[in-house]
Amino acid sequence: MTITTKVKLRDPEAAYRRHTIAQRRVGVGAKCACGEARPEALIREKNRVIGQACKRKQNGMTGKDDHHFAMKANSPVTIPIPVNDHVADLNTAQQDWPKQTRENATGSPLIAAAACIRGFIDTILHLIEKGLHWVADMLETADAYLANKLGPQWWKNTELQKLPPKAA
Amino acid sequence: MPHPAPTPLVVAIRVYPDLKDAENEFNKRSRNWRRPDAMFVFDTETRTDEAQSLTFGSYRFVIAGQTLTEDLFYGANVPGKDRETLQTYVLSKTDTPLSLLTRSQLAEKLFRDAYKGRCLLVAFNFPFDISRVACNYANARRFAGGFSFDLWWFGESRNRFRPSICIKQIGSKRALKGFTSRATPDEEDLIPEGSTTGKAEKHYIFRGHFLDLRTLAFALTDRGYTLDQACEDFGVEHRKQIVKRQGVVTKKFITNRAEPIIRCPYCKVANEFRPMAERIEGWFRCENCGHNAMPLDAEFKCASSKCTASQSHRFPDWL
Repeated sequence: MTITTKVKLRDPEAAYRRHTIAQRRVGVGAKCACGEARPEALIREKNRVIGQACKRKQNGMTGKDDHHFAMKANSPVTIPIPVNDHVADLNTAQQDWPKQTRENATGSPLIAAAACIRGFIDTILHLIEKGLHWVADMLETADAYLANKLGPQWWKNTELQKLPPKAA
Repeated sequence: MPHPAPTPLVVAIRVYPDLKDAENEFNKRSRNWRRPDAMFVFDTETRTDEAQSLTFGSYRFVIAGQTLTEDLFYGANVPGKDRETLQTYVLSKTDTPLSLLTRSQLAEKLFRDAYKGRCLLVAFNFPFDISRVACNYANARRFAGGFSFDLWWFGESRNRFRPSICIKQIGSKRALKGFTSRATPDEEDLIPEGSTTGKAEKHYIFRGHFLDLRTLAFALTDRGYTLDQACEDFGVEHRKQIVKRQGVVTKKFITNRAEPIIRCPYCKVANEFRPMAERIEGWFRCENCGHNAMPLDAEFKCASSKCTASQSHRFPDWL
């Protein structure tokens, strides 16, 4: 079973609308030279489209952003995140939070706590996606490669045979 | 063999010169139409009297074939008793959470999804359904002889910051449809559809994406359909149910709306695919072969033996 790291969107209509508007602003099929294609991470300039990260790099700035994981109104804590992921993934995820939680105009500690939980979930999911997903993909690809080269039970008579789990 | 003498004929040639400016202004390559990924599908129920006023309706917001939102809405003149019936129905649906919206709340969603988000607006007999949702009408200027429906109201007059929907019938099954312009549109509303540059054009008006299923059925079969007949001929699983008294809000009348059944593609029961059981919210499992499905998750892949076998290169193409 494939690992799923998406949470059910609270307001899928608004998420779709934000995404299509972002796509429309940069143009259909727009892409940075580095391959970045998420419309939220792209900047439309006069004659080209460039990713946020490439733009920063070009201006001699750092490619990392300090992400307020629970939004500024709820917690001053920040974590360094690559700029493209910050604008395209984590900021977009925060847009799906209830407006009251995003703004916390009254400074309610309960709302701040809710925001911390929401921010923690979003950040963990992002880390799973970026830090672990590829490992699962790589292991499956490696297994297929070894099965093709050495046969379907390539682990027989190797050190790996001792390792759990034991399939029936 | 002698050639007959040629007969002179008067020939007229009509010439349409291409204007340079017009060519530059309308760059065809940057305006390729693509079907939107999302659909806003709605249907209305009305009273059976002359006014045929809106009683209630339902809508679904669908992305890539998956229903993400589903709600009911009711008309402004619905009596309290009918509203209670709708409210009770909404509260009883715990498996698929529904909300009960007012007409103006629905109109707001319609503006955001169909105009701002530019999704496909779908209905069966679209002109009738949209006219039930509208709160005002006028003679259309864009489509002379047609109607202009206002869905958004501001105080006691139409909201000029919102577009109207113009409709003109051009036959018994076809109608021209389009959004009108609105005062002070946002910059993103002025970006032409399918633009590769993302540049706003000062006079661009987004006309909308409308789909009338009645017209589509006519285009496909050359027959005029009612909803019930169309459901029958196109093999729709949940057909329109027969209600004894149309126009009266009852539980049966509300459940007339289609409910999806997830079926296993590998197992059959009689002449149909086997329905899958819902294990937890959004997770369906076939109790016969163990095939899993999560219709709301586009990236979900089933790891059951049947699915794994079907991805193998040894799996025959014809299965």
